[in-house]
Amino acid sequence: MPVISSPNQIKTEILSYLPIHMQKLLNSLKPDDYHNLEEIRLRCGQPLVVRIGERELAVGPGRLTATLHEGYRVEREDICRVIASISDNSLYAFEEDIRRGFITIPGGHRVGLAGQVVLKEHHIELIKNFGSLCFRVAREVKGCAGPVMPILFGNPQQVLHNTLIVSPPRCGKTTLLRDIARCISAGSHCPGMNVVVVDERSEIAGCHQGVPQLDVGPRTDILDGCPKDVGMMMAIRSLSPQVIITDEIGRQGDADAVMECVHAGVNIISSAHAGNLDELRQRPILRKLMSDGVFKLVIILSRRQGPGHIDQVIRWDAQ
Amino acid sequence: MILKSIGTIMIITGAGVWGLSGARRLTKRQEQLGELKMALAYLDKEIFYMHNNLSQAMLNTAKFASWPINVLFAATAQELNLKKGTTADEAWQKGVNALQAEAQLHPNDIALLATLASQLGVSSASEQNRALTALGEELGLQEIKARQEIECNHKLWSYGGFIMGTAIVLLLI
Repeated sequence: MPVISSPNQIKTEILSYLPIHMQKLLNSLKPDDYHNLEEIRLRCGQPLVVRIGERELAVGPGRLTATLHEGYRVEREDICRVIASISDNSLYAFEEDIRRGFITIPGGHRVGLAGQVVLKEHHIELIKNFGSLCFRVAREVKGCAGPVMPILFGNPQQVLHNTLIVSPPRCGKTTLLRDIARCISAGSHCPGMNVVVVDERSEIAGCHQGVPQLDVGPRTDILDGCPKDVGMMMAIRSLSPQVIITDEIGRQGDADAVMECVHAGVNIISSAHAGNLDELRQRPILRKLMSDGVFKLVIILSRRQGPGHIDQVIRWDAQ
Repeated sequence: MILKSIGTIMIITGAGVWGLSGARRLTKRQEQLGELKMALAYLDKEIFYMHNNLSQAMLNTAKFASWPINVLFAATAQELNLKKGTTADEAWQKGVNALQAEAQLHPNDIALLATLASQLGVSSASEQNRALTALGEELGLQEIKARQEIECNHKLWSYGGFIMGTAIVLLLI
């Protein structure tokens, strides 16, 4: 399956935001490293670190090393320059993103922000004096939903099941959701359907200035940065979706909105954090959704054979 | 005699033109401070209300402002658009330097403008608004001072050149 993260793409879409001397350091990455690159971490006064697959390595002059203290030490000046660069010197234009803790850059990659959080009436007003940044490489794995699609439509009537994808973090839930959106929208493995992606954290479509940077299909509308519960209701009212796809449900508001969607005849495909079915059952809101028969299908992912490995498929109505 | 007459005319004219250009500089400075204030208000609108990215906001302000004030915004926008990791601070400094070369502003005015560098683009829209408003007010005060200077010194510069030229001629005779 094509993993879209060629060295050139990474260089233009991510490394170009780093100061020149850091770009030179990261040139020591091999083509394979680029393919498996998941994160670049900059922490003030700490070594520059990359996560390549399961390995966490410091970036030193001309080489990657597992000994962190041998890596290049990131300075505050570096952090300031990167912040200026990713925000196009316009932090004021990213206030909402900063409040949510990340900025999405072209290509759909996310830059997580950490620093001094300023609160106002128990809400995050802003983050200032940034101390660390984490570039998370958006990974588009076209075709990864291939094995899942027959399961989603796996009934004699070829009707789409409401589906919950479950896994711990970093197992490929969002990547799978994105490819499911693309397949359903493009009509691959099924008739093409209108899809709405409620992308609260800009992870599924990786929108930059409202335009999806990752392929989510030709019949897909995206509510970018929109809270899931609000977005689902908005979509039903105004976008006449056949399928709504959203990431990481878990709050009561999300559950209520999911119920509304199901009662409105709109299919839901979503994801949730849990290691296995038992953990899922321990989450009261999700347990209620299950016992109400909202989700007919649960797909559990793991990293056992790499991200996106389908560990278990559970037909809930058969439980 | 003819040579003396020509020399006299040249000295008086030269000194007179020098005086007039001094008077013109005073007027120009006041005009430019006024225009600068207006341009900063426009930049404020671009940032505070439109939430345009800084490079775009600078470019739009450059289109709005007239020469030589637009030099400041055009040079800053150009620097930012190079996308070579230049910070807003550095880009604004370059813009200020470019303006200094073209405008009739005092070093005090330039120093005042340069103070914006460290605040530009690095905070919330309301903070940007506050910084730009404060700078606009400071420039307003400079404009008032410039007007007072015109009232006091404009005539002195205008006639002073000719008077000085005449005095030199008298001394030489």
